[in-house]
Amino acid sequence: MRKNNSGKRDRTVWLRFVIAIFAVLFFVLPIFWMVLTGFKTGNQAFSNSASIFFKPTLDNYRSLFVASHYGSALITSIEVTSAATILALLLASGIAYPLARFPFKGDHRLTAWMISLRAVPPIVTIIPLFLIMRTIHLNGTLWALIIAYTFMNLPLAVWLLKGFFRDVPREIEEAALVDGLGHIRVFFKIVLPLAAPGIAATAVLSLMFSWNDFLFANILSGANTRTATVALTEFVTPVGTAWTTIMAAGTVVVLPVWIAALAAQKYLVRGLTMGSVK
Amino acid sequence: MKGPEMSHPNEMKGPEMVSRNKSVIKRRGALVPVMSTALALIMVSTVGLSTQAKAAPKATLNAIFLPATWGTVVKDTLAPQYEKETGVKVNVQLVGRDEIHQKMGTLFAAQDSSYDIFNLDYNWIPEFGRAQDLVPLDGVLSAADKKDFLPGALKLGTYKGQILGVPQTIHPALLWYRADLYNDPAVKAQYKKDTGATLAPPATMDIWAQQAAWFNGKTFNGTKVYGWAAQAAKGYGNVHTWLSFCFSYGCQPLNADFTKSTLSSPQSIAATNMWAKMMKLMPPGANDFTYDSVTQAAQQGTIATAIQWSWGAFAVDDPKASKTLGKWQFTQVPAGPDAKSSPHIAEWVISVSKFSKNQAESKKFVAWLETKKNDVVQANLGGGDPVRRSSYNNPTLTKQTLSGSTALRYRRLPEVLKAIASGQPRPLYPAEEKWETMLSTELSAISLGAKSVTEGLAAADTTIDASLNG
Amino acid sequence: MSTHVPQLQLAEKTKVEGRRVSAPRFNRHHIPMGPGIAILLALSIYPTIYSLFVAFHRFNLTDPADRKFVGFKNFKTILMSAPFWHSLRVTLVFMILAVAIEFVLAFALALVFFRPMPLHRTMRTLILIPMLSAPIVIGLLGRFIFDAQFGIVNTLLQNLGLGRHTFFDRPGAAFYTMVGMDIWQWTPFLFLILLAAMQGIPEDLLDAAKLDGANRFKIVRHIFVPLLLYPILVGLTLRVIDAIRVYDIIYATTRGGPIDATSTMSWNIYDMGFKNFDVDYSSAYSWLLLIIVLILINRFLKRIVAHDRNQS
Repeated sequence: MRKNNSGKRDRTVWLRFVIAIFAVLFFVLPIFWMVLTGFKTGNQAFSNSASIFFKPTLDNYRSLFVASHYGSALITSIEVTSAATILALLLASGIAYPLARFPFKGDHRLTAWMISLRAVPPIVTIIPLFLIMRTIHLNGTLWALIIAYTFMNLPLAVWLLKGFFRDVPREIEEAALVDGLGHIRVFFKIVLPLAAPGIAATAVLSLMFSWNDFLFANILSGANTRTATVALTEFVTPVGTAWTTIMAAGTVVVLPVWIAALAAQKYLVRGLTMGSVK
Repeated sequence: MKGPEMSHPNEMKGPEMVSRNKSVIKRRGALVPVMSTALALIMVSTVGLSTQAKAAPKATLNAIFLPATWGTVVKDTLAPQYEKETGVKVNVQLVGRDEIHQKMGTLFAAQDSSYDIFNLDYNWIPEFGRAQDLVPLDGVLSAADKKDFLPGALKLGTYKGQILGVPQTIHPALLWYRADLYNDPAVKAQYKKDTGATLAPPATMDIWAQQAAWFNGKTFNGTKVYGWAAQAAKGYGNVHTWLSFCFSYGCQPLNADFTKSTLSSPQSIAATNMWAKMMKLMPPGANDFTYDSVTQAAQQGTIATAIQWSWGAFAVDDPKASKTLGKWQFTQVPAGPDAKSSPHIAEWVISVSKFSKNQAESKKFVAWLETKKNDVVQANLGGGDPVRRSSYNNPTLTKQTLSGSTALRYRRLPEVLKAIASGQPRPLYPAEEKWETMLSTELSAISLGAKSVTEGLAAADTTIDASLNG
Repeated sequence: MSTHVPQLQLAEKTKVEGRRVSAPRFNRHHIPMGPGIAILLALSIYPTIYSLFVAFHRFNLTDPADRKFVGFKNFKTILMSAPFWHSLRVTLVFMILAVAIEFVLAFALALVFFRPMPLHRTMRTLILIPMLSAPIVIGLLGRFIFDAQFGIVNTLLQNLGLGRHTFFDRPGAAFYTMVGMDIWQWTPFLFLILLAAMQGIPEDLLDAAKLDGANRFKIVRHIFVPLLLYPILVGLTLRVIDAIRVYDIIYATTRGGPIDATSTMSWNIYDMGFKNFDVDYSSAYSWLLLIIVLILINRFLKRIVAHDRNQS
């Protein structure tokens, strides 16, 4: 936190505090309302009163996990996002480390191409991807989604990991090389541990983007491979919407990401802005 | 993000840096194996869990049904009963109408066998029939069965002479009206005073319009009432309601071989004018009205009349949710001038996927669901309106009364039969769903006042013609 | 990072210094790049070519018989259809409105948070919550709280004496509600970037400016804006890209309606491809969308790549 050097009293602090409080309320209240509604019954939720105090019930969560087997959708999400993240990190490290340490002619073209992949709207990819998956009979399997998410996260992971690998001081690597370690061991014993927090942050971001995805999952998932986000929309039907259950499910879907992001906070900015801000 | 606790390695130099980083490595080095173990554990456990979850019993069928009453009845009551009787487990998933259509398209294109049985809206039969994605079910019904099914019902599940969908429930649009209001002497007297006409179930559109306008905004027994309600949301909602108007004015939206859109005929314009005029007599938020919205309004007693599917009557006779139990009566959709009443007919059928790995078992289940006995059972459970002629005479249904009212539970059945006889289905050609989308957009523009009736219909004609001949 | 500023100035003022002294070739060190590059190529090049192939044919998922070659007909049909141009307009207006307002709000908020105050860290962390949440959840939440009958927003408005409103059933209201939802979800994103970038500005620069007698406004204009240019660039580029691909919240609320008020290009592509099963039109449309996106951000992408080059 910055200290005011001149020691003068910061006269704006209370004004800014009030503005900040309003901002926090604006951004947090809807989510807070969602979490709250997850603990209400139908009557309480539609009662037209903005009450924060009510007798909470676990019925929605019970209905979610017991009656609707939402747990299996969550497990599918976990499986798919972790597999895709691990794959993305593995493949991305393979690209990022050489990019960081072993420049070659035209490597900026490679980087440019990968950045441009970030600009492609997912809807453009999904149609050929769907048709291709259908040809190789992968539709509806977990692998279709894992492949799609790996592909989705790879460019960003390469971009970020390249930055994190670059941050490891050359001197340490060179010292280790001088000591006689080969490049591979240098990577695993020196670079990886030092870049570990950055790798963790990249993992968190990759998990987050895959977990939050809806479009790919909606098109590519089959009967037994629905992710949490897709299963969420199944509570909305033309003959009625189970709102309190949806709010409970929504809470379950967003909570893990908040927790993970909290843990990786430090590197989150760098990750989200593609390294523009450190 | 900077924090004072993170001193950047680059700012240090020399041996100091190396030794400092060695300790950092020791600390951070622990992170890597911990992280990898954690991730590995997650993967292993989830693979283990999923294998467990996917260990299936010997004969299992997977079905998708609409979450309307006939779908929930299959899921909650009939499927478990079937499992008890035959040992074949049927997993029923309830999915919304648009989602069923999307899933069928994508799953069939992928030749996916994860679902064996689908609940279809009959207008999809030509589409998936052309794609040859459905198994012919002629063998599932005996000759006696075929005679027992309402002929109109069977026809809607047939494509090029083959039965691709066994009818599960058939329902025409009916005019619903509040018998408690229409038969109330005070209300009748007031109506006579205000309009000079007698308040009775309307036979023509003009009379109905007058009645709805009279009711609109008045309060009866403490409840404010609007003229009517019907599905009106963009998508399929407004088209399905509009079709009853169109047919009852004697209009046809398309020519006989589905190559030209005929929405600008005088009958069509007259029907649409009436529809647009009536839209203003619905409760607030009408432009978003789904089937559910109409049901709620009818249950709460905030409307005097409605144009709604016949099977919706179950909901307004539900003591747990309805304030108008037994108060609704049913009659034919009013007719336009120089025309006969002709409501829009809807039907849901059950089909078997060509890619199913359990076709024989699936066919057996479909046959079992639609036996004479089970057609009545489904109706009795509040599923949908019956599809067999014999069911309409079955005393279990016809003699049933409602608790808490003198009305018969199935008082609508005679009207349903009449409506099916005079009613018409949607245009039956493969790209009909797309047709509904295009028409719906223009109807939406008309009801929101963005386009006049003639403009909107002309625009629809252009768009539809372009797509038919593309 | 204390070295941040000089690097930025380098990127701003000097051109890229030609080729590096040593322009090495591929060697065994580059082998690990193989698998990753292969996957990227396989999943980007192949689908691209296949998509183009589909766009040049008739291709409906439920009509396996009709797959004839039609050349540019699909592209022509789309380019001559009013809904295409309407969706282009909807997409662009949505993007410009949302991103502009997000930027202004985020900048103002970053200025508020720039100097310390009580609960600084906690508040900043809480503000991030919207952008971490799955957009489909936000969409459904929006539908719930803006509901005409039981939404909490209407209840509050009514209690404040502002009457009840419908947010999704009229074209204007629906469009602006969607813009509002996007702003709510993504302002924290730009806020995060701007705040972090501001906090990266060296203390001495600010002190020197203050000693020179510069007031707050001058500081913002002459120090903040130039030094924040690159992060702003990246932030805006990412927001433009993401505002164009908005889909989840439309799926959860208006589905492109009322009439076609929220029918963005992404939405139309989905609708055509998976509701009507016309993947031929869908693919042609996708190509047009891609071209438009690349045209829009081409120069920004070049700047970002150049900056990255200067870093090494």
